[in-house]
Amino acid sequence: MNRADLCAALERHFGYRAFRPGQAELIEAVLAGRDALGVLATGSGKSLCYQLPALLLNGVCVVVSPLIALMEDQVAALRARGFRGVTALHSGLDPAERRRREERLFAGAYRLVYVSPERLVQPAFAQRLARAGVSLFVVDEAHCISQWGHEFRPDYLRLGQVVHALGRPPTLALTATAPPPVQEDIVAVLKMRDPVRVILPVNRDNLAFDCVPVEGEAQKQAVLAERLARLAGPGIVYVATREAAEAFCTWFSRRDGRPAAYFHGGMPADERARILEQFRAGELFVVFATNAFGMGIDKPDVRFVLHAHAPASLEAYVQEAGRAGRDGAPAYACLLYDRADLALQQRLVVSEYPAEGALVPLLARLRAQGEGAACLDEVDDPEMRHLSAVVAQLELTGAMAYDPATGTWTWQDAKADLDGLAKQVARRLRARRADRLRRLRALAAWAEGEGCRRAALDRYFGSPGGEKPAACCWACGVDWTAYADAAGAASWGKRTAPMGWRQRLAQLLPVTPAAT
Amino acid sequence: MGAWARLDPLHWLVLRVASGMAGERTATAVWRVLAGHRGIQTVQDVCWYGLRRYYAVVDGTEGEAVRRRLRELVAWGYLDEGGRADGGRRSITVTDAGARALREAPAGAAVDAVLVTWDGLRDERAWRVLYPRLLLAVQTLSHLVRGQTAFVPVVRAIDAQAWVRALLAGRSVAGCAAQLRAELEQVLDGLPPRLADMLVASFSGCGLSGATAQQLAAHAGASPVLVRAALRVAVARVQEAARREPRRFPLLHNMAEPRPCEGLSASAEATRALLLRGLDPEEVARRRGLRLATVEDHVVEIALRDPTFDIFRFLDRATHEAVWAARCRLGTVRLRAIRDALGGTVSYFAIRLALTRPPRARAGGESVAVPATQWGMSGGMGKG
Ligand SMILES: [Zn+2]
Repeated sequence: MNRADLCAALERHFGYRAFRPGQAELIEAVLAGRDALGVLATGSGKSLCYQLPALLLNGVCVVVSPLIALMEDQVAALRARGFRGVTALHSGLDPAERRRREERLFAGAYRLVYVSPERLVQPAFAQRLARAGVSLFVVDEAHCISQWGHEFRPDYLRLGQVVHALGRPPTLALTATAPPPVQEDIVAVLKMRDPVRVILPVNRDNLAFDCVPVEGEAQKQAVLAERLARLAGPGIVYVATREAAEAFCTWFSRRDGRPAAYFHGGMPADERARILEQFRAGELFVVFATNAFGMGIDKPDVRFVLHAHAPASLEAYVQEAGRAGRDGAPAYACLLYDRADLALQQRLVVSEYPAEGALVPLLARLRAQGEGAACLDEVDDPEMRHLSAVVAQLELTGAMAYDPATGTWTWQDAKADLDGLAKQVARRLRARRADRLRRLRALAAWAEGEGCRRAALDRYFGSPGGEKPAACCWACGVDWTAYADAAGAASWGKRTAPMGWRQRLAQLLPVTPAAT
Repeated sequence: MGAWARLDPLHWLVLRVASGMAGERTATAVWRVLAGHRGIQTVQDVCWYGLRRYYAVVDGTEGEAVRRRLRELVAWGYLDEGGRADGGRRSITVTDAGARALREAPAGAAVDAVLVTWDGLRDERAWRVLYPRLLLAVQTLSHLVRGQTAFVPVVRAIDAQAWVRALLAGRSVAGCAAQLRAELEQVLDGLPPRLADMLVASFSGCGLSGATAQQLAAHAGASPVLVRAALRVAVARVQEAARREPRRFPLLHNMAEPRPCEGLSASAEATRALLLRGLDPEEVARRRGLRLATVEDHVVEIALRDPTFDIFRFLDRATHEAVWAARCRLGTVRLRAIRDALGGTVSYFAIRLALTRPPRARAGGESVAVPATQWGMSGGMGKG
C-alpha cells in the first residue's frame, strides 16, 4: 500500500487529512511485516499507529496495555467513533463477561483487542489467540518493560515469550518517554528483529518551557496567582499530594469565580469521571491535580500546565507538561521550582518503600496467608502500605505470583528461606529507590542547569532536536504574558446555581413523559 | 462550644463507629464498616454492634481521608489505639473526651439527620448497582433521543453497561426515555426536594455534565462527605419506592433488580437455596465442593441478612439461651470470651449463629437486658 492509499484509508476511517509526524513511517513498517519501535510524545497520536493497521490487516491486532482504566477508555473512545470490532480483556471483568468476550474474540468477532499482560502470559490463552490469527502485536507504554523505566512492571518482562507463542507477528512497541538505555531494553526483551525506529523530539515546538524559582509557599502562591489570573485556559496545575490538590483548589476558588476542580486518586471513581467529563467539555478553567490526572485526558486544547510542585522525574515532567497544546496552537508550561519540594518528593519516594527491618515479618505474614489481595485498606497497619511494592519484587524473585490489575497474589514456595528472601527483596528495593532518587536529581539538574533547556531535554531522552521555536525555554527567554487571555477572565463566566430537578430532568430527557 | 467543633462529618463517623464497637475492634474494622466491605466479619460487626446506619456510607477510594481522620482523632486524645482485640491486633477505644465530643459535636446531628433512613445492609446495593445503571441509562438515553450515538460513558462498570444494553435491545429509544422520565418524576416527587435536586444534578447527559459531590457541597455550603451520604440516601429511596410498587415503576424496579435475600454473594445465595430445600450444611458443602467452614459462614450471613431464616434447624434453644446469657453477663460479643465462659464446649459457629437472633421478650413484656444501642435492626438508634 503506497502513501496515497494510506492517506485515503486514514481519511475514510478516522476523518483526518494527514498523518502526524512519525505515524506514517510506523504504519508502513508494520504493514510491511516489520518490527517497529516508536517513541512519540503523549498526544501525538500513538494509538492511531496500530488502530489503522488493525483495520487494514487480516486477523486480530493485540494491544498490551498496563492499566485497565486506560484500556476501557480506549475502547470507549473507539466505540464513540463508530469502531465496533474492539474489546478489552483484563481481570476487572467478571468471569462470565470475560468468557463472553473471549469466545467472541476466538470466533473472530474483533479486529482489535486490548489485553492485560497477566492474561496474555497464560499459555492456553496465547495458544488460542495464535490460532485465531494475530495480525499485529502491540506493546503500549513499552517503557514499562525496562527495569530502568520509571514505571517498571515485572509482568512486562514475559512479553518476549508471548510474542513467540503468538507465532511472531510483527511487533510494534510504543512509548512516550524512553531514554536510549530503555529503548535498548525494549528491543532486547521483545526480541525485535532489526526494528524500524521512529524517535521524535519529546517536546513539541508549540510548547514553551518556563521555570520560576520560588522559595516558600507565599512566594509560590504569589506566582501562581499571577499566572492563573492572566493565562488563557483551560489548564492544569499539578501538585504532589492529594491534600495539596484540594487545598490549592479551595485557595483558588476563594479568590476567583471561574470554575475549578480538583482531581486525585482518593476520589470516588464516578466523581473522577465527572471531572474528566467537565474538563473535556471545556467547562473548567483549571483542574488542580495529582499525577492521577492524565490517563484518559484526551483534550487537545489545554493551554497551560503549571507545576506547583516538582514531579518525581524528568520523564513525568515531560509527560505532564506535554498535555498542553496537543492541538498545535501555542501553549505554556511552567515549573514553579522550590528546592524544598524536591525534599518533599524525596520523602514521598522513600515512604513508598518499607524499612528493611519490617520485611521479614511482612514476608512471614504473606507466606502464612498463602494468597490474598494487596489492597490499601489496611488502615491500622502501616506496613501494608508497602505491600504492592514488596509483592512486585517478590514476583521477580519467583517467590510469588502477582496480578497487578487486581492486586491479588499467591505464595509459591511454602518452604522458602525468609531471611534470604528478605535480603534479596531489600537489595532490589534499595536499587529501585536509588533509581527513583536518581531520576529526581535529573529533574533538579534540568531545572537548575544552564543553556537551552529544550536542547537539554532532547539530550536526556536521546531524541533528535527539532528546529528551535521562537518561544523556546526560560534560558532562551519566554514571555509568559504572550499566553494571556485576550478576552480576559470574564470569558469563563461564573458557575451558575444548579437548576431544579424537574427542569434539569426535562433537559436531560427531552421527551413527553409516558403516562403510567 | 468546645474543641469538638473541629470535628468534620468524617471525623464524627469514624468516632461513632469506633464507639459502637466498644473497644473490641481494630481501625481496619471501622474502615470496613464505613466503606461497606461485604465480608462476613464486617457484616457481623454491623449487626452485632448496631451499625447499620453507618455501613457503606463512604467510598472505597477514601481510605486515605479516613486514615487521616483516625490519626487526628488519636492526636486529639479522642481515640486510643492501645487496646488488644481478638488475635492480638491493636483495637481502638473511644476515650471519655472522645465520647463527649461524639455527643456534642455539631457534625453528629448533621450526619444523623442525613442518614436517618439509611440502613446500609438493606440499602448499599442501591448505590453499588442501581446508581451506576441509572447514571448510564440517563446519559445514554439523553444522547440517543437527540440522535447522538457517540459519547464517552460516565460509568465504566461492566454490569451497568450490560444492563443498559439489555434495556435498549428491541425497544424504542423515545419510549424508553419517556418511561424513565415519567418514573423518575413520580419517584422524585416523593423525596425531599433538596435530595431530588442533588440526585438529578449528579446525572450527566447530552450537553450537560454531572456535578460532583464536591461541587454540590460547595453550592450548598456543606461537606462533600455529607453530600455523598445524601446521594446514597436518595438512591436508596428510589430503590425502595421501585421495589414497593413494581407495577407503578416497572423500569426502575427492573433496574433495582430485587434479590431473594438482599446483599448476599452469589455463592451464599446458592447455599441458601439448598438450605431452604432442607439440606444440612455438611450436605451443602459436599454437594458444592466447598469447605464446611465456608458454608457455615454462609449460614451466619444468611441469618444476619434474613430475619425470617430459621436458625434453630442448626442450633438448639438451650445453647442459644446460654450464649445470650454469657453475652449479656460479659457485656461483649468477643467470641473467645463467650466460648470460654461456656466452658469451651460450644462451637464458634453455634455462638455466631446464636448471636444473630436476640432472645425473645419474656412473657409479661419483660425483656432480656440487652443494651438498646446494640440492636439497631431497623437502623435507628440513639447516639451512644
Ligand atoms: Zn531554549
